[in-house]
Amino acid sequence: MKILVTAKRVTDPNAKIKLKSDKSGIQTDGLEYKPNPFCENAIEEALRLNETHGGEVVVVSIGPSDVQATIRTALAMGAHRGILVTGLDDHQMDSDLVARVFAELYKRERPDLFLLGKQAIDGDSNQVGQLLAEYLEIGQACFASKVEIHGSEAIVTREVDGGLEKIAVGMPAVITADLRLNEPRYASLPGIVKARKKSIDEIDIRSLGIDTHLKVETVAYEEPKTRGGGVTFVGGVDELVGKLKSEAKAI
Amino acid sequence: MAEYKIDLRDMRFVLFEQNDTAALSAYPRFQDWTRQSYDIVLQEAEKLAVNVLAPLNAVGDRQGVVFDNGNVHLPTGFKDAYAKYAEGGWIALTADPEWGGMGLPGIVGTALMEMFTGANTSFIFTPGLTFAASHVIQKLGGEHLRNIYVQKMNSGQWAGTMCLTEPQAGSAVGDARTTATPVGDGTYKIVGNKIFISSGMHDLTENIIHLVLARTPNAPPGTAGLSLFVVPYVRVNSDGTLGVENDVRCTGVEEKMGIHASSTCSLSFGDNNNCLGYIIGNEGEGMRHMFQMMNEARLIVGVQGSSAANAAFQLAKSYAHERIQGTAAKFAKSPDAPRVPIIEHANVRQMLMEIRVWGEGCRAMMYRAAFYADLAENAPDPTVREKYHRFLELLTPICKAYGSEAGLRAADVAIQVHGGYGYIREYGVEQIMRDVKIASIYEGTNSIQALDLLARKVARGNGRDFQAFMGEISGFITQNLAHTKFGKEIELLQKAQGNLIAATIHLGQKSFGGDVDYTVMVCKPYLTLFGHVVMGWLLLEQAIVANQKLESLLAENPSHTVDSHPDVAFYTNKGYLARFFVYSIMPATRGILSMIQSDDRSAIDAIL
Repeated sequence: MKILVTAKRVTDPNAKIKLKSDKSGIQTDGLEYKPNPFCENAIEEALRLNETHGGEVVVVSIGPSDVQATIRTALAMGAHRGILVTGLDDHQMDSDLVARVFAELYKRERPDLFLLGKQAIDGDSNQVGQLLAEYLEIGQACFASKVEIHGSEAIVTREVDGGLEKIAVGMPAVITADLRLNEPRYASLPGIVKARKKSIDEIDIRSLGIDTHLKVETVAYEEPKTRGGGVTFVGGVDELVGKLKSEAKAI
Repeated sequence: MAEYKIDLRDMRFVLFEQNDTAALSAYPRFQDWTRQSYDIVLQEAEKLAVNVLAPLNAVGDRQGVVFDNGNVHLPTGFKDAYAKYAEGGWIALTADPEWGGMGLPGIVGTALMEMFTGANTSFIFTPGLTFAASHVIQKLGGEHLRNIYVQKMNSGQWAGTMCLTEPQAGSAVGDARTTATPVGDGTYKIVGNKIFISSGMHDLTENIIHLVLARTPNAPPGTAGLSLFVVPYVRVNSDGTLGVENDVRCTGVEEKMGIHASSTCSLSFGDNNNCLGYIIGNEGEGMRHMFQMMNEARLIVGVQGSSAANAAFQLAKSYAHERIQGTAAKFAKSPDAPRVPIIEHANVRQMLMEIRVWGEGCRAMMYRAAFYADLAENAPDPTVREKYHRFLELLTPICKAYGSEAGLRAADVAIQVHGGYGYIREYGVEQIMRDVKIASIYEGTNSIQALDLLARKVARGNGRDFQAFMGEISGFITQNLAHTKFGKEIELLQKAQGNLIAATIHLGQKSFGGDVDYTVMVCKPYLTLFGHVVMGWLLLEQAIVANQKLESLLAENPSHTVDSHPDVAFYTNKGYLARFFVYSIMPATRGILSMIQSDDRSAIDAIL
């Protein structure tokens, strides 16, 4: 079984994010990046499926050459090779363009499964997997908390409001990983040594023949409002309910 | 619950900007490593330290180890964590890949040890000692022992220990009484008691391989009569499978001030006269072989100090940003003035800078020593190898003693920053102080280190190595005396170095004059004086490297500010840190020199 799996890098969640002075985006100078946790779940699942069913795990990502490091980490975890589509910076992408790039890679690689994190923890868009399946006109199972392969079908347990939903999706298919799907392994030192010799193909976005216009126009970024002072309620429940109604307009 | 944070930025600065670790890949031994793979190693080690080891730190401290009729149980979670640690290949970081090691440079291994030790000091004993023991067997144990033990220890399947101390033989190792009697087939029967054996018994592995110092029949007294033996807990058959138990018994564990999750054991060898030992090298070489391990272990103890200081700094810094108390000093008389986080109080900032300077300065010292070890082992030119070998030997006792004391001091000040809460367990900072105290005692007390420095390392060859090392620092001083930003501080470093040289000359004269007691009395302050000079040198070197980086960053884009680019803040801070050390700590060199030159023998003559 051949699996394509994404490895997106995200800004370090522990870093203090600052906005550019013209509010056109965040300041990325000297910023640290980490692998997107949901992608780590997807990579772990790809590796586990590979351990049972054999085949190949190919890690894909988009961005400047530095993103190689994120792919290399997945190779150190055990993936076989990587593909990096270069020529686009983070601010030159939206979910739709990312999905179309991945669709193009799908056509070139013809995998049985395309695994992604359900969303990236920086933009939180949660759209790429769904768009990708739509462009490819193949089945999708998003927010997976369990994946089993039966013949030509993937049986996917999904986390939905109020419980779990179990669906069967014919392969090839797109599956996006939720946090409870698995516990991602750490790359081992021997794995890191081996990863150095695994190949990462860099493909220039222009050679993919894709329209790189964005569908999302960024108007401005704003800092979240700083929290105001708290209020102490001494008058009991009635006063609380009253203030929630009149001042906070919460109920 | 205290959160463990690692300053990867500073680690990378010391690894790749202050020392050229990436250039080590030019040596055949490190050719498989690249800057990118080092970055992945650091990133994965950070995950392991923060997500696996650190959460067990407080748990281990509360639960401690349990002694149960010869068996020892480690706290909840330690076994799983050890399995993950071993599986990831983190035990034999710097060992030869041919023997199941990872072949990393020592300087990178030092950074990793710092992360892991800071996350959970108790945890690191078993893997640390296992590697130390396997390394001795691999280097000196001969083919047979090597083939049986090394791979299985490096993979974590079996653990290891070093057994020197006996009730009557602590610092005076030569008083050890454990005996080794030849059986006739090349093996020996071991009989005796060892105490304070870290990881001497635990439930992490199926076998524990002890390295035991013991006395052969008719051996001369003192250390010259000691030999080193491999003594497995369970005997190993010639095909590598486990055989019968080897008459090694754990008779108890110590209840200690700190490192509660590390099992500190009393071991009894040969109660039934059925404990077999296998000699490493020849009879009488035990101390020499043990020193192979001791020198590396001393650097690791220094790292324990720097990791404690860095962990303490992270806690104190977070707390100082969060804790609201008091008003700005200028509003001290207006009761309605806004309350501020304590980071805004100048005295708290002074304390934080002190903690930081111990952490980052000692980090620079430990990594530099490890870098010297890498050069001493791998540089193609034998004279270069020899030079760095000697520098490493000089620095080793300083790293151990100065590093362990800096760690303790940093933990103390970090508790002070926390005020009353620092004294409360929940905040985690008091554990650092209890855990790090042992570092000034074991692996040769700090006084032993100071004697080693003065009597052995500095005195050797009429001060030849000392002079060469001073030449290294002088070279840096000469090159930077006219530095536009740090020239004045360099000049002060030169004065501090002058104080060290004057103290060295004075003690040399005292020794020649036959007053050995006097040098023994002041050797510890002498080591501190030496350490201050090394710190001043390395911190100013950092400031100058950082300043270059800062200038090129600003040349690229002059609009960058401390707020707009994290590296601008980082590099700027390096200058502040060096200046802080030069003006707040380094003046102590003058005081130590006048103490040494005082010739006051009160401590020797007093009625105590």
